[in-house]
Amino acid sequence: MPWKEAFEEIMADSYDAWLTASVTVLKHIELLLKLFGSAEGVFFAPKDKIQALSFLSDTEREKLTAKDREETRCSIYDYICKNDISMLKRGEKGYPKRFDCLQDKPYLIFVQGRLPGEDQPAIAIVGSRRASVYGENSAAYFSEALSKRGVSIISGLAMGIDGVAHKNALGNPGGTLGILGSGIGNPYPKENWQLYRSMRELGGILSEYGPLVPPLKQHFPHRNRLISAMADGVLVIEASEKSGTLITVDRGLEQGKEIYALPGRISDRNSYGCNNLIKQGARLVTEPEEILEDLSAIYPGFFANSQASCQLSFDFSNDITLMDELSKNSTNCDFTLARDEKVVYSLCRLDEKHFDVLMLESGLSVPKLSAALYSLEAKGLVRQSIPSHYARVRG
Amino acid sequence: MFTKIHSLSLHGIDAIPVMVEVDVGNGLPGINMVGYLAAEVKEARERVRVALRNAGYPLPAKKVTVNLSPADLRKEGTAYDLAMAIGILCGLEMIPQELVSDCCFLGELGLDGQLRPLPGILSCTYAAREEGLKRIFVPMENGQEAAMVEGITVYAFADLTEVIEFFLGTEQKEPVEPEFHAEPTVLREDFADIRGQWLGKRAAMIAAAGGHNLLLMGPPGAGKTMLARRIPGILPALSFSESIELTKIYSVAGLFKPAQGRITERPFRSPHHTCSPPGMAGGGGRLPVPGEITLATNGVLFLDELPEFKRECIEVLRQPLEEHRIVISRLYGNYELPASFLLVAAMNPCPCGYYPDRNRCSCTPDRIRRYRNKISQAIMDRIDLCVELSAVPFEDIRDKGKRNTSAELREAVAACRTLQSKRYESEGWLLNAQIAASSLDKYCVFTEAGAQTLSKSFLSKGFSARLYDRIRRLSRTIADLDGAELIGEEHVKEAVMYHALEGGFRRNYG
Repeated sequence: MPWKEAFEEIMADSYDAWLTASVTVLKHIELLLKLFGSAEGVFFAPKDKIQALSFLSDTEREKLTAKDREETRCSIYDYICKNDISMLKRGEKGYPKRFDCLQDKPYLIFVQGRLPGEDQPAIAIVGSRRASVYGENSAAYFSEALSKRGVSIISGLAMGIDGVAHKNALGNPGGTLGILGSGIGNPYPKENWQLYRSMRELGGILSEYGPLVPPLKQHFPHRNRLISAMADGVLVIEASEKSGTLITVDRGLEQGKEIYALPGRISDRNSYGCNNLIKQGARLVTEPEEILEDLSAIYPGFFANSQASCQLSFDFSNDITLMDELSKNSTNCDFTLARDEKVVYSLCRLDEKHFDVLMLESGLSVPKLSAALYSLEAKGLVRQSIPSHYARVRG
Repeated sequence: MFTKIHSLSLHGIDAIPVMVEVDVGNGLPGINMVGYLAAEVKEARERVRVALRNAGYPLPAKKVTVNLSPADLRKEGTAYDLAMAIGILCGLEMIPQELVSDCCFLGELGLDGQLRPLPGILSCTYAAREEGLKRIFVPMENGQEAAMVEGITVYAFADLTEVIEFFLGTEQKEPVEPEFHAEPTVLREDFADIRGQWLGKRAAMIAAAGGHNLLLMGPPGAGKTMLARRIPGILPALSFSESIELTKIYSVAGLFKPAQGRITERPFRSPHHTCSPPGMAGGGGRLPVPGEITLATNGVLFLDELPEFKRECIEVLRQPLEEHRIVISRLYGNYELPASFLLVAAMNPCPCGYYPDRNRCSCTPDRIRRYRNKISQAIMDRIDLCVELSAVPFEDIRDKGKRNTSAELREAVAACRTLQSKRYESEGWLLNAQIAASSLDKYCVFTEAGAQTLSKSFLSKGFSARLYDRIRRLSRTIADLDGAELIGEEHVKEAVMYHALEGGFRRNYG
């Protein structure tokens, strides 16, 4: 009887969801499944048996034996149905093949939106939560350039580099996937709520934790293995000495992924991690093209169809001629730059410069410089990332 | 016998006339006082009785009734002691009533008859003159302060005996002559001392010219305080009426030193961030003491470390920033105090102070956001200019150019203010920052390019309607500094730049 099978499947799903929402440590889930056969088995296991399991933490034991666990199970499943969350179980159809490289594949994953295709290249862009303007601008540049060429951008929906990477990939052909360290419906940090919502619509959200599981700090290092596993390479934009980003890199290396790192100044704390990675053999990248080349070796033919690259190589020594060329060739915006604007643009860098510094270097008055910067900002060439501080926008 | 003596009661920074009515008649001996009196006024009974006896005029066994009219106005303070003593003597027919009918008396009595000084004498003397009184009698220490008012004769006495002997004709006393020690104001702090900081200086000048409130952000040591302290120096000189208003305020607050003559320098008030809301707005249990916002009238109110102030303390600024006055309601009445100041606020960009320098700043985005959210949107809406200063050290070599002195800037600001006051002659305001929303179209006229730039940035940056108005006012000032009749493109562009914080202030840091 087909309806009976369907009913049993739904029941099994709801027990699974309940289990992942109650126990968040994968090892514990595996052990429980081994002892009781299935999530349903765990659900109906005698209380004293679960209490006797020494590997479980107190809260886990409490949740598994709670009197109202039937209601919890129903409400979790209800949430899953109402929010269009799909559940993918290990070994079932649709479970990402990319996770095959993992020793500890998640038992169950929850997905909202869409996952990157199995034959679609993907790059993880990760970095510091407290990014500098240089880092943010570079992340935006790489994320936009790659996703426009069809590469999926994977990251962790955190503040800083993660957020910028997602934001700039939204709506592009490659799409983007955010992997949470908490359950779906309870993203962290709250500041990225807007981004989280648009990711659900235009990208994808993935979590191995049951819906609404709170973001606990031990989840995040564990989550990082999924970020690197989901991608073909890991691009590190900025990382300090003891950054959590380096965990993603370690997991990526274990999984045999290529590590890319963006170089930075030796004096910048935020570039310490990246420069160290380069010393240890990570691939130094300055242009998205370099990553695309590697990817086209893994996915032959993927980039053949997509449009020719709108290569905008920035040569800082030759800015004014470049701007002239832009003003001649460009068709998409009104690139008629006044002399002042050219001068000011050539003085701007990827990291921010204060208005006073630009004034000293350009020799312009406050009204003139502000007018030039206004025009450059309106043309999308310069960004006032922090009030009174200006930086170039790349790409 | 019944007699009436003029005295005055402070109300806000002005004084209102109070009549001290004394009746001496038969009955149970003693002094009875009526007229809605505070405790310290009732205690005057003992002070006056003993002071009169010690001056050699013991009260006879008569019933004395004293009424302070208007009887429904709450009387506070010790200013009525002298008027009561003179009233009793008139009632006893020792001093002829006609002699004191055009006189006004103010002063607190000691038991030995000594006259003690009072706050707010300047306001009282003005009010006495307005009442049409010819002579005012004040304690010795207040003599010079009262003498600053022309058109009224001021007598200052050290004790009660002297006053009585003056009226009995046994002693002559010359009226107080005003002595002015008005020194030309010397600017100790000059804009030329500041190296670099062109953006900050420019913003300060625009703020001074148009009366726009200013927020300075920047790391410690960037020179926020240094810049703010120099702003009063580039404001034009006080007009006579402004100077008198200010002197009255300081006199009421008890901060006025008569030896200096009336106040001619614009105030710079810099309350500490532990200031309480009543300290900021004015208040106190009895007579409202002017708060920092009133003391900063016609000058600069500088709030250093803005986010460290108590929230209520900043929120009380809302009404004064709009209306340039504050109404304090207390149990015994409402008091209106002037509060027309230029707000200059300073803050660090983050709790540690070094954001966006990620090598030094280790604040989490959340901490920065919480730090900045301490300042409500309502206050940010009233700040027209926001600039972030950099802490880049400028060596002498790098800033070789001639730096404008305060005197030069002051001239430019004064010229710009004259232009504005002429333009707004028929309106109820003086400065661009105060243009009523309904008159913006009339006074802020743009060139075609200027209007286009404004509407473009309005669309692309998603300005609110309120912000749109503020940018129009600000660009009006920038155009005025430029001497331009119509507001051009470059003026709008500059004005928009000073509003970059709008989006950035609460953005997600990280």
